[in-house]
Amino acid sequence: MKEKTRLSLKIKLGLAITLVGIIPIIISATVSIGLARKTILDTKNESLQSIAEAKKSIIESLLYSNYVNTKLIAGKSTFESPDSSKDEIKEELVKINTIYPEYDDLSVVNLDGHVIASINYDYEGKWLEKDWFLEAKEGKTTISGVQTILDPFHTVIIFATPIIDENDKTRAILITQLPIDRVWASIEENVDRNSRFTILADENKRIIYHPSSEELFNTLPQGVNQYSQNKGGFFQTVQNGESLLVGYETFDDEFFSEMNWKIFVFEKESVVLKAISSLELSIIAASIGALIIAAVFGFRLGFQFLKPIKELKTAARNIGKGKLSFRANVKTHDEFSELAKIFNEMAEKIENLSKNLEKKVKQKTKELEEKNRVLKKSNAVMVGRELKMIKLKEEIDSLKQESKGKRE
Amino acid sequence: MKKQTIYLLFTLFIGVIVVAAVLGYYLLKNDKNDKHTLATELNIANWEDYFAEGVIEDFEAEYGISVNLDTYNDEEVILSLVQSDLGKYDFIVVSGLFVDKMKKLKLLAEIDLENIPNYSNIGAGFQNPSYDPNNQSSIPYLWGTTGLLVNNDYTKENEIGWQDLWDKEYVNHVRLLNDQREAMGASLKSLGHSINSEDKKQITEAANKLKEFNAKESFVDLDQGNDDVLTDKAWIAQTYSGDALELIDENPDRNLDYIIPEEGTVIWVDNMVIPRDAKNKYTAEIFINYLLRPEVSAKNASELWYANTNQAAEEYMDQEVLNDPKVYPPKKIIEKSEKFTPIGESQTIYNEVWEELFVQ
Repeated sequence: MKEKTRLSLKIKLGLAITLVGIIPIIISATVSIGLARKTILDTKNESLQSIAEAKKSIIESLLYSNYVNTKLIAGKSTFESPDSSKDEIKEELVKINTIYPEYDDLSVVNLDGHVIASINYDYEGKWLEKDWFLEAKEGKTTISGVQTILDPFHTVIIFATPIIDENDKTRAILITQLPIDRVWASIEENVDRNSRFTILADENKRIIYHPSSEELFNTLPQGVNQYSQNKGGFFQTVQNGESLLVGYETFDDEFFSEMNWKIFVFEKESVVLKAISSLELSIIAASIGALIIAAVFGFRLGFQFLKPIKELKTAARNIGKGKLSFRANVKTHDEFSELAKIFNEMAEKIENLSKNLEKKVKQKTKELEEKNRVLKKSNAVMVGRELKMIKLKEEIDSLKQESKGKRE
Repeated sequence: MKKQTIYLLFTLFIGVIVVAAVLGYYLLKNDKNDKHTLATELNIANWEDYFAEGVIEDFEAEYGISVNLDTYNDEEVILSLVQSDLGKYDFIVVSGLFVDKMKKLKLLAEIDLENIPNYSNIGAGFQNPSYDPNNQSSIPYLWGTTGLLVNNDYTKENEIGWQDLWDKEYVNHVRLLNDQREAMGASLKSLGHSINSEDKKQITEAANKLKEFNAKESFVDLDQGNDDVLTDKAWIAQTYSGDALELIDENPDRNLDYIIPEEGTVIWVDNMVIPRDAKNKYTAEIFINYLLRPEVSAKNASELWYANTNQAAEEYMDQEVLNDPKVYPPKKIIEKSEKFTPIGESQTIYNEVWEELFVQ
């Protein structure tokens, strides 16, 4: 019981002080780290969004310049002239391809949707099923969304423009086919792929470009789609157990009205946070140091309190046992020593009281003994007289008896 | 006492964390789960006249679901439609070749066979096809052959082959399907080559043969070709078995016949698929399961004169259809016939020679 009480106080005080030391330290450490993180993440997020915006502009410029090129090419006389033969048209296409090697195919398609001439003939679909082709028939230069060529598997963007003859009638449609890899090359940067990457998604939320080809045509993950409903912005998401920061922008230029693509720039949060990791470590180290100091001093202080209390306990115990001359020895020069002084004064008073009491008791006892002796003496006299009286009475009685007897 | 309290608090703390984690996990899990409730409507598309009468109405009545049906007569059409709006249809029917294409374009949803117990009714030979292993994204529907609808008032022999399409006597009265693979297939077969030839020489040879036709007039769509035979504009038309046989059935007074060319022909299998972002995937699966019921499947196949992939349906099939060698060709024909497979990079050669037929 004794032991437990001693430990309990030590711990109480130690803990209390440590706690009072810990809480502010933890709070400030958490807040510092939190703020540092927030600052760097916010900065990064905004920069990611700017990067997305910049890439979007590059892509838009690229598409626009191809749009213009396509229109330009369609103006070639060989195409416009009704007398050109199939072979001549094909020759022209090959020539153009050397000037514009970015196109992986060029075709001239007649209004029935049949190819008059083409370099590769790799487009498989039916032209007349495509809205952008039909619009080109009506005189507009159009951009298709992402089209897929299955063999060899690759994705392209197709530009379709009418070839107008001298009578202002549409003769045929010129098709230029731009592989999406070209689009990609224009915005590629020499940043470590492991930390940052970009993807493009079309209006159906299908991925149309991804550094990992397996992801092509997959739907945007829910964690990406749900936070990218605005025109642009940034957010954080977890994909495959990895936390990513994302900046995004939507292609909403009127010019590309059909192509509501979104571009996403991802960066791994862990890589971003690495920049402040040494700062975080120092904060944590300093905090731990402070905690240790707080703990040590806290417990020491506990000890300090303990000693005088222990001393007072001992003194009280001893006095309780009867050793009235026992005094508490506390030299801490604080409230405890004051308490000890008062305690000792009290002990002194008790001792004196006790001594006085003894004296008085002795005296009284003496008086009482004297009185007792006197009382004994008078008692003895009284008893003698009493006895004599009884004897007299007996004698009288017997005399009475005698007299009575004689009369008769 | 103090220690006990600390211990208690600690345990409580851990307990709360565990409960929160478990709850969180289940909440997140449920987000991904399919909702197994039937929708009130189903949007489907199929080839024209590819459901027997009453099949859809019976489904609507039984399940209280309203079915919206669109039709097409060209697979490219439905492919374009699905590509531009992934959620437009919950159910469509395409050939094996297109299942392969759409899978490569990631346009198809994975079918949950647990919702389609009647899948076991499909004949073993049709399960697990090469274009869709384990029927991950497609369920066989009906199968048939490509052949010739002939008007025997004008055609001579009983055994006719692809070769006869080029018979001088039939000039201008021949129709081929305006389908690159089908028309080229006919020509390749007539030369004894495979319909899936990747040999440039063979392909060019076949295309050159086709040059003898006036592409614009002679290469027509399915309905047009059959119609032209009915109206005597044409005497032979490349067509599909069921369409031809149904036509013959409806015109018993005409001297029409469906011939499977002696060189062998194309066997195709049509499949039910669910586009990837279908809004009512579960309901579509229920619809597929309904179509696989033996009586329903038998009704479909019998009325349409197509061969059934559903083995359990055989006992309910119209005997006339089941025993017709034009619907279920004999072994010797099947041995000489092939299914379409993708032709890899030689596709561009096909494209080129085909287009050349239209542009002189």
